[in-house]
Amino acid sequence: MNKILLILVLIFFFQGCDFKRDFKYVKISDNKKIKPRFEPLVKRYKEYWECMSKKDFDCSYRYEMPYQRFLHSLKWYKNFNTPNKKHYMIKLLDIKPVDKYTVVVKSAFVSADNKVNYMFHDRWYNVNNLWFHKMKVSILPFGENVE
Amino acid sequence: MPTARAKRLVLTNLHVRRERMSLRRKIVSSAAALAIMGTALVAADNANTQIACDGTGDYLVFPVYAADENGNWKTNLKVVNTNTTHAVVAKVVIREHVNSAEKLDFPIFLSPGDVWEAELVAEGGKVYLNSTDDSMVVEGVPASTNPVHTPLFAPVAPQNNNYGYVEVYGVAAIKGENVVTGWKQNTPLDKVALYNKFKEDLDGKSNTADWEAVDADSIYGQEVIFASNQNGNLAMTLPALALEGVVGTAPVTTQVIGVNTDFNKMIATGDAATVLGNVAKLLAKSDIYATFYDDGNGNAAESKLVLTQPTKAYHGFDSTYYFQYNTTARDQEEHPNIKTTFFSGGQTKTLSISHESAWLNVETASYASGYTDYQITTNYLDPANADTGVPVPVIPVLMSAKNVNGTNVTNIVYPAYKKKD
Repeated sequence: MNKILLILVLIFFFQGCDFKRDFKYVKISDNKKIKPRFEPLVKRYKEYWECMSKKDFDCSYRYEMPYQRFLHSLKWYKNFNTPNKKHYMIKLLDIKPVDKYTVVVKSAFVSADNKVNYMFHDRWYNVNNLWFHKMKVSILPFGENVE
Repeated sequence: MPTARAKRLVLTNLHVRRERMSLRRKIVSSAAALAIMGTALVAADNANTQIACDGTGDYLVFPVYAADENGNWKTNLKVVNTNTTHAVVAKVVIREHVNSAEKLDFPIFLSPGDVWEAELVAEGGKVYLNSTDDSMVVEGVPASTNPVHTPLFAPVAPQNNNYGYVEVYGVAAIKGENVVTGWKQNTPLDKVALYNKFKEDLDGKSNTADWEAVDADSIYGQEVIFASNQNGNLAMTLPALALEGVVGTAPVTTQVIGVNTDFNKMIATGDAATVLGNVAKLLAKSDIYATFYDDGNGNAAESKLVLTQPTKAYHGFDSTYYFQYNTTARDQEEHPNIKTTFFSGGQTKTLSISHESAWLNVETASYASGYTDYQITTNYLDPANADTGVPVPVIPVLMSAKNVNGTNVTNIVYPAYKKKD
């Protein structure tokens, strides 16, 4: 009886952790109401940017578009992203569908010291019911994440 | 054995002969110089337009600007008047990159030895010109008093204001004491007084008595394209390309405040079409060489080639006209990889460029380091490909970015090229 009770408590505990996963570096704009069909996207968006902001590139790599992971190895990805800033805040401002499988997400970047603040757009693609981020492969101007 | 007198005679004869030869050379040299001067006097100095080797000129082109919220890219522009006795009025023209459409133009009022500074930034889907510099006087009020935060004219498809290039024409020069009586060199000159003097005398009027042409060594420009974003703090500095002998030998009397910029009207003396043709010839290139570098992991670090054609729109061509090119990438052991086409949707496409300021990822052919030769094969100026050289009047710039010990380092240069007359 005690064992069953313990299992139930543990299940309850871990379920609670999952639902209340704390995203320290990602926020959703207060003005943005997420449509139910974009909830899976937002979940992965939060996970991706949390990894990126912590510079956990093993984690963020899994969210990048599969064909881009084929073109760019994890080694390349880590080398590309290593100079990145850390612990910046990403705020989701808007989601604009392009078609059934593609959205452009408008976000705000706020640096850890709160001195740099700008907006950007990136693309997410639905592949086999999972949303993937279009990998940023350019540092120079005219190379951002919008086609 | 020659006598001492005979020796003296020989020496005297030699001396006389040398003197005569020297005199003859002088006469020939003087005649040549007179001929050159005569030409210059007849056809004005813009009959001999040149790309300035010293970076100063009377016409500048900043070949690229970036003002993009994506990546937080901004561009800082500076125009310097190196002349410490003469104030200079110049006209700045901002053009977007697809069709060279004019997006903003305005005069700047540079006192002797002065610098004008401004930034192009993107905010809320628009690109703005920001300046707090007192050399920018708008309707009599300097930007130091009333900061300029002016949006570029909205783009009309397919235009794109986030990228483009900037021209600066020297309009007129004037001695400081002709603006403010008693002005002394190396002291500030009131820019509003300069603005008022310019409005009274020129800007569509012909009171040129106090004014001169901007000389070939008066102005230079420098830009910084920079960003602070997810990838770090990035910056690239480039001098403006300066040409001398473009605007002519008299001050420009065309109205420059509040009217669109027409090349013909910015050329004070000489034949504008000839000057434009000469500028195009000076910028004509048949090959552009883009070097690329190993990123430290066996791949080529990112590099981009921006090709700006500032004369294309003045010749009446928009982005429906294009030039074609081949690329030959070579590794450092001379192995070539030649491309004339690429695949798109299962079809081969010829490599071509239509945008007036085009951004290309440098074709590295999977080599980690080496260089790529961009060879121009046909162009809009010569659709029948009648000449074999097929030059395109273009200003190339080459950008690169590389992770150096955990920091992204960016760079921009004017790459090497082959000139074609």
